[in-house]
Amino acid sequence: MDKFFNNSNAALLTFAVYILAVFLLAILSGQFRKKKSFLSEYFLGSRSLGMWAFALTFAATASSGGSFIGFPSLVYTHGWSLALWIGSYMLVPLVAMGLFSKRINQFARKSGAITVPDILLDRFKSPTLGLISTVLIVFFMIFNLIAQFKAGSVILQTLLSEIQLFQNAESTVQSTAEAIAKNGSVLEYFFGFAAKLPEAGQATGPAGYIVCLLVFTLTVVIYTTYGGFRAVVWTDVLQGFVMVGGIVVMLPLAIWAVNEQGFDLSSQLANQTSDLKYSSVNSYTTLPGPSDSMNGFLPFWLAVSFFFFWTFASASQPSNMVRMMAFKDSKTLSRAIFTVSVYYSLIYFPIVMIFCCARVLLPDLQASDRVMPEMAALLTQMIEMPWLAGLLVAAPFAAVMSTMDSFLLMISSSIVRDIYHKWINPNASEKQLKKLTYMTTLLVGFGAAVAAMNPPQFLQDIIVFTGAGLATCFLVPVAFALYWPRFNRQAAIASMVGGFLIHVVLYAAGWLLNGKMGPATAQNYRQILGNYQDSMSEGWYQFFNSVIDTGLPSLHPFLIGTFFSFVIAIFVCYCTRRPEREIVLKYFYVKK
Amino acid sequence: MAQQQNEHEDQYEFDPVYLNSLREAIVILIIFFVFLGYCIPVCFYFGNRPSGDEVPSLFGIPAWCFWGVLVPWIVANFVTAWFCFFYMKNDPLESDEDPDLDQVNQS
Repeated sequence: MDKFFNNSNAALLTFAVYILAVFLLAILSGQFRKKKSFLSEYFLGSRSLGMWAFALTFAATASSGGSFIGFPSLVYTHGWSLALWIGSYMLVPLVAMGLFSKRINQFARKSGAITVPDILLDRFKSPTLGLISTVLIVFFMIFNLIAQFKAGSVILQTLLSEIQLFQNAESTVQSTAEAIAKNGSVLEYFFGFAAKLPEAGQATGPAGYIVCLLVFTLTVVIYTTYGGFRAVVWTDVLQGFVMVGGIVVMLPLAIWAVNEQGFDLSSQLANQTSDLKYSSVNSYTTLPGPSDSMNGFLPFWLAVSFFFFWTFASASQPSNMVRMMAFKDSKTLSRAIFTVSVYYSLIYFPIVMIFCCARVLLPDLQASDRVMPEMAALLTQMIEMPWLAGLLVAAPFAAVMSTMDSFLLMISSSIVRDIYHKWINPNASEKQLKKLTYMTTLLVGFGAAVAAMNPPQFLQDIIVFTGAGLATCFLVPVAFALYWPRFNRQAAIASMVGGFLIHVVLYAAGWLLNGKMGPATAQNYRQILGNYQDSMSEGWYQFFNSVIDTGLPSLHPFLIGTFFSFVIAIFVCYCTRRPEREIVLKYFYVKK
Repeated sequence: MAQQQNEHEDQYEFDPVYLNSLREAIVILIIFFVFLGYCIPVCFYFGNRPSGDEVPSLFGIPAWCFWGVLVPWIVANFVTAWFCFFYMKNDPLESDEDPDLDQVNQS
């Protein structure tokens, strides 16, 4: 690895070309915007996305650092059973894009909406619902943004660690941080971290992380702020090609390399990697985790949970819904669904194969989170093409960038459009909104970077917490809003708030009982039941015990929260008045 | 009030985009549950075996993974193609706002 990165100028050059291309696209999209209405163009690209743009911005936004860092690490650790864990991606394009897209796009056109709260506000004529949805989006997205900043910086560290310029910057940051931290001010919280020395065996330390965070922040925040939605979409297209290109190149190389090691691919690889014991190195799958399993296979309810989670959670992410508002026509939608279906087929199953091969090629890797760059280094070294490593490392970097720029814009649109423009200054001129939008995007971007200076420990847990949280809050209200004319504002508010509370309570219980970020587990429920055994009859005790034995309480919090959100929605809807006739006519009827 | 309601019912019918989208959503849910009902049982029946047992394989992939994930994944692409190009309706999505609705809004 070190030898490889000592000769990594070629890799860095490839990577630099990619970054330049991203900036070029942002500049072009900024020019494009000058002829259009600012808000609609900046936040929605004037609702004119064609097939490739819509397909790849959807696919790239959904594939975050988790897909290229966390998931390979899980495959390396747990083996083939992760194919079932990720298996429902075979249906994600159909379910996530097919279920809501056409109706959301139609609703947005009818109401002139450019954000998700816009749609909900107009569908239910409820400013309260608009405000609640805005607050929830900002709350969850800011958490996620901080986690993505960390992921991007960690990837960049891998690429830059052996570059002289980077090492100089690292020592400057470390000495500055030491000087500031010594003063004992409030800044110690941030700079105290940067002043620490690298841990044993690591090429770069916290100061190196800060340098990378700075480079990463400047790159993403500047092109997103300048270019807006169109820049995000165009760069997503580029990033989408980089991601799939990286995987398509790696797969044959990995299979070839395994053969070179003398493995009989037809049986040994399967046996070598099908039965890996689960370890506690990564808690991403502990919702409930595979560590509950005795023989290394996924627990049944975990498999069922994730089959639902990937598909329906993708359908109900506000960042995906914004894209559903932006495509041009129905034909674009149908072509895009098929394109994303092929795209995901080329990414996810091949990732399982590549990193099962990694288990054979790099059997003793301690830090499994580094398996992607390690494999990139190993494979390109074997074929003596170091420049290719730049492309392969650019793939996960592109995945983080494409998710982060979308989230950044999402938060910015929520603040400017859904809070300032609607609640504080409805008569704001386009010039004022433009100025505020630029300032907000910059401030949110740099604010999240400052928060990521002392990086959160549980990166993947935060990503799962926020993704599942948004899905639990939005899936039921949005589905009913689009398809059920009887659905009213009281039911929408109750199901959204109910879903949020259940999600937060499950995580808070997990935090209190286990001391780490994650929902309560079956073991926790059994402990709680044990505490109350004396105060309940034997019959009830047996009943609750048998419920826990079924594994149902170990379902993913997304499924539990969504179930309760669904029940609350129906109950409240039938207990309250029908929605106003004009709303139903507007969204569900046309004139004969 | 009742008279006004009947007048509206006479003048309006369900939006075809709504009906087509609803039909498509139901078909998507059926497809999802068919795949769920196939993949999970197949993987568990063939893959969830005691530790240390020989794993049957096809093309270097464990047999449970081949039949329970890879094959349905390929089939899912064909099903998606059928849905997108032969089943999904090419509905117009432009706003259908008409002046009468504004009157309804004001009344």
